Order: sequence, then structure tokens, then C-alpha cells
Amino acid sequence: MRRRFTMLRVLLILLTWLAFTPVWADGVVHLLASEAGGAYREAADAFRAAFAARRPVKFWTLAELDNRQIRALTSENNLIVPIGLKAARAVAEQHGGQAAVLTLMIPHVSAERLVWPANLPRRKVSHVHIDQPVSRTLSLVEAVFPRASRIGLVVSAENAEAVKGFQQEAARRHLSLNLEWVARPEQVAPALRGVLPEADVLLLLPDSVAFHAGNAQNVLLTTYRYRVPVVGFSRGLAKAGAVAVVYSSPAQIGRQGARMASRWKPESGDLPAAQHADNFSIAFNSHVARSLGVILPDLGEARRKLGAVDE
Amino acid sequence: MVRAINPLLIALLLAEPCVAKELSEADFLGELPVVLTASRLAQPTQDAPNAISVIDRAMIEASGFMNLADLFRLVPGFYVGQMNGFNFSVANAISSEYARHMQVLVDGRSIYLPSLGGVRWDNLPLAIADIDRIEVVRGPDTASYGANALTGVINIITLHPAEVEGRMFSASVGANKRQDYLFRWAGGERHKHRVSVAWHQDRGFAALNDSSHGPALNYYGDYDLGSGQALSAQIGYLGGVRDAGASFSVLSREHDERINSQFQQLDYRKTLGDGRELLLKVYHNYLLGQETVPVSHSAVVPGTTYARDLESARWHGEAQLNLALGETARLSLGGYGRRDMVHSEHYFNRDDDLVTWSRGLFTHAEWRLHPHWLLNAGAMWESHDLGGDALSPRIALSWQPDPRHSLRIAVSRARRNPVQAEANADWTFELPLSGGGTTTITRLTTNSAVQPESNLSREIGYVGTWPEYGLGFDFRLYRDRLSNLIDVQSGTRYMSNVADSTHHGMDGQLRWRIAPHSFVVLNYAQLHIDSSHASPQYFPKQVSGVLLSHRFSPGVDVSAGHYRSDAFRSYDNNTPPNYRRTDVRIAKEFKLEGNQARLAYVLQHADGADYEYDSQPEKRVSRQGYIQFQMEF
Repeated sequence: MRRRFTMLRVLLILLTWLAFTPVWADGVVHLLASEAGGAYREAADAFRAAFAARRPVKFWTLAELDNRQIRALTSENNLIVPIGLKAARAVAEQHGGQAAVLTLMIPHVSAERLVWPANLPRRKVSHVHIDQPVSRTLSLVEAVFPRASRIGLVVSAENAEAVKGFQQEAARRHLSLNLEWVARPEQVAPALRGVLPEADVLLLLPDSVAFHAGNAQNVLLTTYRYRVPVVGFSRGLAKAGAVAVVYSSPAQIGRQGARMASRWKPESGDLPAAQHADNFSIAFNSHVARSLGVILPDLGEARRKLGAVDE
Repeated sequence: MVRAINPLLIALLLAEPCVAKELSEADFLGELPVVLTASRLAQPTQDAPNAISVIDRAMIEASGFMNLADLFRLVPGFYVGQMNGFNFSVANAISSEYARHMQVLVDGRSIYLPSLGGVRWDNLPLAIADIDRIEVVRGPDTASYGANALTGVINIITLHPAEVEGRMFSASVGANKRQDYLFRWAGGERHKHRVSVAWHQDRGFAALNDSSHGPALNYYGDYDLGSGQALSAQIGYLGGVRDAGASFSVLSREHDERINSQFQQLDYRKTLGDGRELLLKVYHNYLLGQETVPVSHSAVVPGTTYARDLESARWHGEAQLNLALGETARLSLGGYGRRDMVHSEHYFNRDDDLVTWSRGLFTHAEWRLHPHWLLNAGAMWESHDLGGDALSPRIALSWQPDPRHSLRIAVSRARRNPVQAEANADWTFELPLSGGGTTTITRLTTNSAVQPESNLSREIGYVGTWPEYGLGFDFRLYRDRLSNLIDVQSGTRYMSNVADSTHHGMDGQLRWRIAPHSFVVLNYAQLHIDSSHASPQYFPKQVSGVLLSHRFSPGVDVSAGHYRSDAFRSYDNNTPPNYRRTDVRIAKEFKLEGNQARLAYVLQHADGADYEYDSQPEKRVSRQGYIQFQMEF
């Protein structure tokens, strides 16, 4: 009877300890989504399913935590996984100087602009970007348009880094890059008129000046008028009118994040270097292709050739 | 060649205050409006149930043509005749001054005239510079486009404002004192707009009283209503004066024809997801030609004139639903209602409006039975006050052993309803005589018994595409059985169903894009007519053409077009002789104060004089040179 009472007491103490232990205790992986549903939930679910380490994984939405709580979370040896730019920005701004951070789904250019505390070692910050490596995009161009040699590109300065990569990779593949820089929205139309007559394919990159939801109609109609097929970066773009796209889904990015997070140790806090998702998908818009007289390769064959997966 | 990044440029660009938001995952994951919807896409020619030729902007520019009607010289099997400085006849299969056997649409708006049939090409509020492309169906297509598509369909598609953002000015001057000016500006975000203001004038043929001048105005607005909805509004106006009559014509001395041509059009488009799309269209066309015609004859009271006004209007509304039935089938269905009004005391001898109602229901299905087999089936049911009720079906089966080849067999039935001039003309007018009393002149009387024309068409077509070589080829062999053709029977003064014909023909086109800015288009057509009509070979036996364009150095384009047709006797008894014409164009693009500019010289009839439409000496046109300038800013 006495022994049973002791056991009960120990259990009670344990439960009380657990109840009062702050959730931001060391060694915990905190997923922090910019918003509750949709792509953020998809990435988080995939992360959880693929996470191999024996560590607690907690899921928060940005709306559930105030600045003080974020600061507390990041003041311990935790791994914070912000999903989306808003969450990443909140974590960067409120960072307590201790936790490692692995952002998911943030474009490379935006990740570069995040400002981290000076005392936070850079090896404790990493990313799984939503954008695609240059080589992957150009491989898609070559697979779908084997005779294309002139690639058109209209971008603003925010894509200067990506352009450098495209220039190097295009030169390596003996492709010519017909490039126009724009700084203001009204420069986009003349830039397209300059590039399209000299392009076999137009590459679209997300760009807050050159190509975004607000001017997608203008850009796609203009490319169609010039009968120049578009290669893009998202599933939505294929539906809108791009002939071929390459993209990584939130689930693919979530799984990649889980693989990186599984290698994280609270003691050192180090993370693998920033990466693009290894897994990616491609999609075609066969109606637009046929209308432009483009003979698409078999989708399954193109996937196999490029190493893409059917998502 | 990789263009190097200028570090200074980058610095400048970076220094630019960026008002736009930072890139985020939303830019990758967000839904975009479906821009290139089924209704916006040109139908792939290899999947179409009939032979389609496309005149694209590159061809339009390379041709150097300045009259809209001339562009149809670029279509296999089309004959273009120029009756005077502004009047054109565009026909395939049956040629006459009032060529009226084809449906003609601009952005889906039928401009086929309910009064006389056909189209007055000079009275369209439409600048060639505003045309994106012209899709021409070579062959009947009532199943898709309704009555009057008896031998073909011309579908002119204008430029969306988003495609021509910015401002553009163009000017053309040259032979026959021709002057054309156009100023266009386009832009906008949620409300995209294109406005074109134009002026045209020319002296016409040297020996004819056929000068013309007038302004034109066009507006095209596209409103993004969100949630996949868009509304577009178009308005057009063309006015001006055409010189008409002749000093030797006693019943029609020299005078002016005043033109008032306008239209308004609304299109609503909603993308419903899963490949579904709803399209609503309402439009109104209006054309008024006003003439006060002087008469000069010794027997008629001096100073006598009569009014020869002709007014027509069309109200049209239609709804269409496009559906994707899985990956292998697509379906379109819809209906329309139309009210046509014609008014002319001169031609119909009555002062009230002649009103014709018509309505129709249509459906069209495209079903991929197998990766190599495509079935197109469709039908249009129509009810027309003058033509009665009719069903016009079509079925086409294409065998596509691989994406490069498509072999098609098709059968269709088409019809053309009588227009007011054919059914209700009462072209009678009185003139006062110097000696007292009047004389009555009767040209045409009513025949309400006139029946619609019909066409039972069978064709075999082939479309081959080799995009890796920039090569495309299409060809068709056909047999059209045309019944109840309408004309004035010899010895009568009214229109009736005078003839049946059988057309055996072939036409084809080869397109070769040799280099990005160099291409060749070759057209050839042959037609044999077996007809009970009084002019049994009412179309040239052979029509052919070739258009070459080549970029010799950056910005220097040279093109040449050669067009031929055999002599024939037209449906209305004109006798165009053999026609051979060569046009040449040289264009240079350059920067003018940082703006894109182009200067071009066009020489028409470069190989010497040609007879236009018939063999009257005053219709012999010699070399004509024009200078064209265009600047975007």
C-alpha cells in the first residue's frame, strides 16, 4: 500500500514537472508556420512524417505566439523551423541568440535578406528554398525544347544573383541568354518586346517588378502573341499558360527539411548548408503547347530523364 | 552569346526605390488567373475539324499590305478583287462584287451585312496595326459559326491591350496621295485599355472618282473582375466620305457617300475551374451610308437628285460554355439570339424597318478516342425569319499516328440564309421628266420565295508539322455540293435560286520558318466547278501566292510577295483577266532617341501594271510606292 502511494507520488511529481516545464525546453523542434492551413500545413505534415530523430516536434502558427514567446523559444538550444517568410522574419527579428533556425519555403533572395543576431553562428541558420536550382530549370528547357538555343529572361535587380547563375550555366550548355533588366513596372512591356523576337523560350522567374500575379496576364499574353513558349516555376503558372514548369511542392520541401533537421544536434546546433529541395516535379500545359505547335516529350519520360517525381 | 551584366546598371537598378513587395513563397504557391484559356488560344490546326490558315503579325507586316482586304491574298484559295479605290471583293469558291458566301467575324462579332450580304471592307473600324492574327477556315463551317459560313470563315482577332502596352505612332504616305496615320496607346493594370485613333485618305484609282477620307476610333478595355472573371468592352467608330458616281453615269453623277460605321461589344469571361469556362457576348453593329445622287439626262428635270441611303444594324447576344471532360474530351455548347434591321427607302421602297430575327443552339465535341484518333463532332440548329429552321451538322475524324501528322476526313452541311436584298428588294425609283410626268426605273423586285443556299461538303485533309525544322504543311482535297445558289435569273428582275454546283478542289499551304526572322509561305489552290449557273467558272481555276521574308542584318528585313490568279468570269459577270502581282518591302528598325522605330518602303505591283478585278483600262494599276514609319514610345 505504501509502495503504491510512493509510486503515485512520483507520478504526480513527474506530471507536475511536465506540466510546468516550458514548451521551449532544450532539444525541441518547433515548426512555426506563417499561416495555419494550405501549403504551410502540407509542409509541416510532411516534415513530421519524415522526421527521423527522437525529439519532440511541436507545431505552432505565427498567430499563436507573441514576440516574447518567440524570443523564449529561440533562447534555448531548440531547432526552430519557420515555414514561410512571415514566420522566418518574426524569428529573425525576435531571435534570442541560441536556437538553430531552418527555414522552409523561402525564396533564396528573401532568405539572403533576413538579418540574424550578430552572436548567432551562421552554421546554425539554414534553409530549404522554394526556388529551383538553375541547372534544373535549364535541363527542363533542354528536355522540352531540344532545338532552343536562345533563352529570354526579363528580371529586375533582385534576381541579379540568379541571373549570374543562369549566365554561367547557359554558357556551359552553349545556350545564349537574351537578357533585359527592368527597374519599374512600365519597363516590362518594352523589355519583353525587345527580348521575345530574339528568344526561342522565355524563362520566367518570380520577380516583384518583372513578373508577379499582378502582371501575369500581360506577360503571358505578350509571350503568346510572339508565339514564344514559357518555362516557369510553379504549378499555377502551368495552369495559367506556361508550357512547362519545374517546382517543388510544400510536401517535398517539408520532407527535405525533415532530413536536414534529423541531423541536427542541440549540443552543437549546427545545420547542413542551405539547399534546394532534392525532390521536384514538372508539369506541362499541353493545350498551350499544341496551340504553339510545340511537340512535348512524354511527361513520364521527361520526369525520368530529369529525375523528377510525380506529385 | 551571354550579355555581360553592366555593374553600373546593377548599381542603378539597386538604387531604384523598390515599391514592390518582397518575394515570398506566395509568389510560387499563389494561384494565377488562367490567362491562356481555350477561348484565347488559337486552335491547333492539326486538331481542327477543318483546314485553317493563319495570317499572323509577321506575315501582315512582311506583306506590306495597307488595305485589310488585301491580306486575304495570303490565304490559299482566296481571291481578292479591287473594284475601285476602296471597294474590295474577298471570296473563296464564288466570286462576285458582293461576295457573300463567307462568314466574317472580328473578335467573335459577325460583320456580315444583313442588307446586301458580305462585308464592306473599307467601312470597318479596324486598323491593320491592331490585328493580332486572322484565322481563316477554308471550307464551310456553319456547324461552328452559323449560317452564312457557306464556303469559309474569316475570324479576325485583335490585339489585347496587354500585348501592346505603351504608345505607338505610325504614318504611311505614298502613291495616289495616300496618307494613313495611327496613334495608339495601351496600358493599365486591372483596367487594361487600348485606344487607337486613325486617319485615312487617298485619291483612289487615277481614272475613277473614288477618293476617300475619314477618321476611325477604337477602344478596347479589359477589366479584371477577380475570381477568374473578366469583362471586356470594345467600341469602334469610322466615319468619312467616299467619292461615288461618275461623270459618264447619267443616273449616278459624281457625288459623296457619307459613312457612319460603329459597333459596341461586351464580352464576359469566367473561368470556372477544371477546364470549364463561361463566355457571354453582346454586341451591336451599325452602318449607315448616305448618298444624294445627282441625275443628269436631257429627259429628266435638271438638278434632279434622289436619296440612296442604306442603314443596317445588328443586335446579338450569345452564351457559350466550354467544358473539359477529363483529359480526353472537350465540349462546347451554347446559344445565340440576333436581331437584324435594314432600312432603305431606295432599295426596298418602304419607309419602315425590315427586321429579321434569328436564333441558334450549338454544340461541339472534341473527343480523343485513342492517342492516334481524334473525333470532332458538332452541330448548329438555327431558326431564321427568312431562311426557316435548319440543322447544320459536321463530323470529322483525324488519324494522328504521331504528333507530326494528322490525316482528316470530314463531312459537313452548311447553309446561307437570304439577305434582305435577295428576299425583299424592291429597287424602284421615280424621276421627274422635263416634259412633265415621271419615269420609273426598276432594278430589282421582291421574291419572298427565295430559299437558303446549302452546301454538302466532303473533304480529306492532311496537316504535317516539323517544328524542329520550322516547317508546316497542310493540304485538303474536297468536293462541295452547293444547292439553291441565289442570283438574278437571266430575263427576270428578282433574285431566285438559280443554280446548283459541284466544286472539286484542292488547296494547300507550306510554311517554313528558315530562321527566327526569315520565313516562306507558299499557297496554291485549284478549283473545278461544274455548275448550272450562267457563268459556270465563277472563280479562278488556280490561285497561288508566295511570301518570302528575310532578315539580312540586325533590324533589316526584306520581303517579297507574288500573287497569281487565272482569268475567269465572275458570278456577277465581271471578267477579271490573269492576275500577276509582285510586292516588295524593305524595312529597317532602329532606335530614335531611345525609342524603337521602323522605317519601311513598300513597292506594290513592282513587276508592272495589273488589272484589278476586271479588264477596264481605268482599273489597271501600275507601280505604287509607299513609305511607312512607326515608332513606339
